[in-house]
Amino acid sequence: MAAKRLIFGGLAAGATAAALLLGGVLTDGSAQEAARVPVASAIVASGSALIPQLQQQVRANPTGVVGLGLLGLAYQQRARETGDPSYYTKSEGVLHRALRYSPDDLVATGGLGALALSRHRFREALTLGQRAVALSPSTARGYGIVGDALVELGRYREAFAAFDRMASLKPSLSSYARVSYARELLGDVGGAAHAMRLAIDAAAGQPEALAWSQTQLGKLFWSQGRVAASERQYRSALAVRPGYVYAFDGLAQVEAARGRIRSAIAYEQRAVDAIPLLQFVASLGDLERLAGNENAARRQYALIGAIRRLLRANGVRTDLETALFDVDHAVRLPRALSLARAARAERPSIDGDDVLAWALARTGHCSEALHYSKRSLRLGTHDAVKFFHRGMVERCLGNSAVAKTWFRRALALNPHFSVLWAPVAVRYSA
Amino acid sequence: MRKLAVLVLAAAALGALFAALASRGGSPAAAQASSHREAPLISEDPSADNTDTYAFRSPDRPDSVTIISNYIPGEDPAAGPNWYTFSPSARYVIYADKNGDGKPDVTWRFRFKNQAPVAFLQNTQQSYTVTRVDGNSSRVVGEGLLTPPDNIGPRSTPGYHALAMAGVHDLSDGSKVFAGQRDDGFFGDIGAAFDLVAIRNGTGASGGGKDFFAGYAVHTVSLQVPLSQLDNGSNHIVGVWSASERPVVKVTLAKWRGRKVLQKETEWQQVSRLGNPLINELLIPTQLKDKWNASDPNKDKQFEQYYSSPILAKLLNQLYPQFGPFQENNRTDLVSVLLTGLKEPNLNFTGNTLADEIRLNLAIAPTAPVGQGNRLGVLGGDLAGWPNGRRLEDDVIDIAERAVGGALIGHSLPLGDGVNANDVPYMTSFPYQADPFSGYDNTKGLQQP
Amino acid sequence: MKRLALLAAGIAALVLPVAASAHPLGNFTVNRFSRIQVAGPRIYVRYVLDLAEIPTFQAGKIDAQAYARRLARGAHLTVNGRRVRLTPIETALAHPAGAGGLRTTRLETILRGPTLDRASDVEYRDTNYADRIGWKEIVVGSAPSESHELRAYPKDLLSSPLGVTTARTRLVPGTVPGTPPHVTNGTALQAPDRVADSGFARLVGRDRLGFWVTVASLGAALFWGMAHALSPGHGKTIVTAYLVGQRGTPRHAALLGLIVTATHTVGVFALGVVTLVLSRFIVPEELYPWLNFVSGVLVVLIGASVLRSRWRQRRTHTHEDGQHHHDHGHGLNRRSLVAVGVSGGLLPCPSALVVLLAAITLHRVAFGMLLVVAFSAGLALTITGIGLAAVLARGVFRRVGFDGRVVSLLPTASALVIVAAGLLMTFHALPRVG
Repeated sequence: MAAKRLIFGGLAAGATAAALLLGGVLTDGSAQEAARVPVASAIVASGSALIPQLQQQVRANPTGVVGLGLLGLAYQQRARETGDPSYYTKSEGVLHRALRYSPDDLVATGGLGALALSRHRFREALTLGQRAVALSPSTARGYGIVGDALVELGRYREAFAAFDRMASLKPSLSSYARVSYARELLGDVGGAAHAMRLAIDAAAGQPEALAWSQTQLGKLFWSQGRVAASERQYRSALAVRPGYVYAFDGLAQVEAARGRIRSAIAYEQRAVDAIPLLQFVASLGDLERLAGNENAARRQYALIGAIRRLLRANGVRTDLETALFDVDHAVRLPRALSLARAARAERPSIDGDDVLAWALARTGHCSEALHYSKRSLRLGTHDAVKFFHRGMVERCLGNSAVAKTWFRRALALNPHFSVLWAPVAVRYSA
Repeated sequence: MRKLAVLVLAAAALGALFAALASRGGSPAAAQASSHREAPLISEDPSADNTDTYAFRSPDRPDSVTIISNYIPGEDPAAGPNWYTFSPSARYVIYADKNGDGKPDVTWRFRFKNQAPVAFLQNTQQSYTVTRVDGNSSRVVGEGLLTPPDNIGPRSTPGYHALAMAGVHDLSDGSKVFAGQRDDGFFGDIGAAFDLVAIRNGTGASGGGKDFFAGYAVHTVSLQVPLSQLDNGSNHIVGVWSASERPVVKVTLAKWRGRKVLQKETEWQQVSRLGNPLINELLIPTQLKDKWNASDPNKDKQFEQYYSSPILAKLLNQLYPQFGPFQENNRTDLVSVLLTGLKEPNLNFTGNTLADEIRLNLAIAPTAPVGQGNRLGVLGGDLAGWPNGRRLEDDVIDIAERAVGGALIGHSLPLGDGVNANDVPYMTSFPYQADPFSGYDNTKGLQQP
Repeated sequence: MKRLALLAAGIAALVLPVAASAHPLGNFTVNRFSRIQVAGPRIYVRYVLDLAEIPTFQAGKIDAQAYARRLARGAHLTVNGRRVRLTPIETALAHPAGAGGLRTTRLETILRGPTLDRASDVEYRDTNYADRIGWKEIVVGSAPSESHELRAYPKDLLSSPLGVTTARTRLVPGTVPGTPPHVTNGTALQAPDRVADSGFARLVGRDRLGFWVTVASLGAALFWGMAHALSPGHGKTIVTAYLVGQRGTPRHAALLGLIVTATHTVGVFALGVVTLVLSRFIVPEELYPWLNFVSGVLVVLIGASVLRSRWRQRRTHTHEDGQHHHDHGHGLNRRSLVAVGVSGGLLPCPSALVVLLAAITLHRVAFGMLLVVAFSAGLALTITGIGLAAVLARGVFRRVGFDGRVVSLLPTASALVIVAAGLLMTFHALPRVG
């Protein structure tokens, strides 16, 4: 009797175990692929109203790929509007789910490409963008993703070709903004402003897109030293979208250029409070230092350390901005140099070249620095920061006269190009 | 044991290869959107997006044809600030085809300009110019015309109806024109109709759906054209569609190595077009939507298969086999009603060229004042409704569902989304669409159950 | 008996899900919760403030009383149209650990409101930190909190973070004098949800790699591998069925473990190479269906070969196994053992891959590789352990005096199980492939 009970018990246990083990084989239950049900384009309204509707739709139809794709895009838009990164996570989850049900879904593929871009995974974005283009060569959006990735990978000719393709297939705010950026890289500032104005015109009625476009135009003006024009754009952006952090950051620089440091600090603090991006915190620290508030400056620099630790905890390789910060503030320069090398390896764009050149110059590798500095200016970009770095490289090499011309060029272009370094340029150009 | 050793060696070798490759750099993972160069993820271009096109003989002035062309989906008056406008860098176009070749014979082109920086002064009024093209000759028929402002509220835009009616102008070609914000005349339960085509209350014909578009506004370009200008004198059928275009701006004209050449905006690219309703939403697959929007109707043979084997029919078969079977392929009935016009019965056949247009038979008189025709149009026995032209009150979702369900080939079912009329009554005279809700008080999306 | 208990425990362990915690909200959120309740005739508001890592860092030293007073000022309570004052009467402060070695903040305070003499219309508006991103929740009475009072935020993909800053309700004063609410104390003040992400991936990112830190990390990696093996997959079924069916000895089990370790490590490295080199053409996601497919096919082949050898033996050996069993030693040849081991480790765990790639980006390649090896060893240990448990169980059953017929059927049954599992894996992978 005892034996029989044992046998039954054992068999039952064994059967349960087997069932559970085998259950592992059938992961993520098979999904009935509902036929693709398109959603009227009329539904694309503002993100805040749209998301609850789309969420409801997905709840009612959990395997509907179209609903999942649109929800993923809406989440990304919301992330841009609010700065809340949890929406990126949600977007990724939802888009991956869509791809599981339908691996060739165009919207989900493009959406993941855009997500990869915003997470600085440029090679992955390129792959996804190319796949989107392959899935539909007549859809413009895929070319935008491909172009953006190629720009960050330093492959400019191909990037501009992709942007041109996008522009001829379907001109829109997205294509105008990209063409504007390309023209700016090539040194065609007037053409860049012209294209960005078209983007602004195309953003009619969409607050976040409009604020973004106006801020970009403001930054373009700023980079050419046109302070008043840039301020007008930033204030327009804030009128359209109160609390737009990038506009606050821009206004902080404007106020600093006008000598109103306290006001600049207030603007930058508002930006940091809303979204503590590394570049905002660094600017704030520099402004505090300029104002003589050493303790406050130190607190901000310490905050950068905390942010970096958090990024790393999330598995993030700290980016180009970190290398730049370390070099700018002479933080453990040898380590900063290897950081810069690594950052450039990930992002071999002219910005990567520039940061590496700067790092090399500050650590005394003058001739190697010159090589990268020349690379960073090879497109003909009118960028005062890059001019300044070139001046420092020439100074490193001992060519003081040549260095002076570069410093003067930088200051002529934008006399307020950096809170930290513009005064240095002034000194060295005398 | 040897096998094991092999495996271990393989691991070591790969590890070495790995270390070598590692210096190339890997893939960084999550970060915030910090690059200032990420353009917004604008997958749609609302300010140039067609929502609906209507064409009908005006019931209050039967010697004229009204063409209504709506743009900018989902204008939400409550989502302040309420300042939707036409895009100043786009061109908005209405086309008329008189001889059935799918190419326009008469074109009206609209170009808008802001009066003042919209954001600062909340001034949503725009001025516009209308250019008309007949064949090869073009002339300006209206200049410096004003749109009414958007309906902000009783303090910013008091007495809105009068303000709006001041937006009706005469063009020098004898037409009347109105451009500006109107209440969206479209109605339908999008949630039910497009998500799995859920049919409320059985077969849905008994009402009880929620009008998704209630409370939303659109921007309209509306014309009232003398009938004689569109009548071809033979079969009296005119095909109408509307579109929008934007200038093509590329990185450079010349080679990219440093040549600074400012490009003049002479090249325009069509970014949206609309003839029959619901085509791009229901029939054209996702990967071809951009192409559809960029194409001209006379090339619509390339899309014939999507009309002939509509996805919606497959869906109806999957979801409602008890009402089926719905014919999935070889739907010559849909091809004819949407791409050539109906030949039998002879309603609005324009020829064998496949082109997606709203085909209006000018010889058929209006049957009711605006808003009071049979909502099922031709399927309901009212020959003055869609697919013969398209009136504001035509319930195109129900008609489309029934047509795809096979109403024209003898398989008639009372399919529908349960929303049978617009939430707000239309006007009885041009421009017919009602005043939009103000940003101040609105009932968006709220409807009788 | 003891062995059975062990077996039962082993099976129970298999059922436990392997939970992963990811931080649902951002590192710079300021999260607020209010509970409006009545105790006796008086209104109380229980306010919880949850600062994420960055706001905590920025705040520096927190004076709990000062914060409580500030929160009270920002919580606007209106009773029957009149604004009333809220006074903090009790406060508690804790700093639960967060990501990246930083701390978060959990501040709880009880705000005392006025007494009510009759049923009243109450409006509550929380204006604290109005421009900061975060979870904003207001609850009335004893209704449940969606976030468990900011302890566990929902991770649902289909819900947006709560943004409730206003509440209107009607409150009725209690007739009996009630006890006012209290703040949580002790360990309950910690927030279990606010922990850093995947423990394994965290190992790579440590700031300084001293000797003991390295050793500890390797130990942790081993543990993670063991835990990870409990999740579905990893060939537990196949290994177990094989060992049971082929009368494997503990030595065989150990050997299997070694092979699984080696295979898994090689697999992760290979996938890492592929990811790096071929990232231009192939997204790693695309590979997984193929790997699943190949594993499935391999498993089917193993099962088939075992079945075939079994079948052949059945025809040459016709004697019955009566009272005694003798181990013919057939079926368990070296080749099939290796094949089973390989199939068990063939599918690289994504988290191991993530660790490797993260290590590369942080320029700690050697460390990353070591972690992967430790992880694979842990994986193998669990799988082997389960297999061993099965082997021992088999021994138990044998000792109990089973009917010989059933026992002799076990190898065939196990082979069938292997084939079935393999077929399932293959067909499951088929739709995703190509």
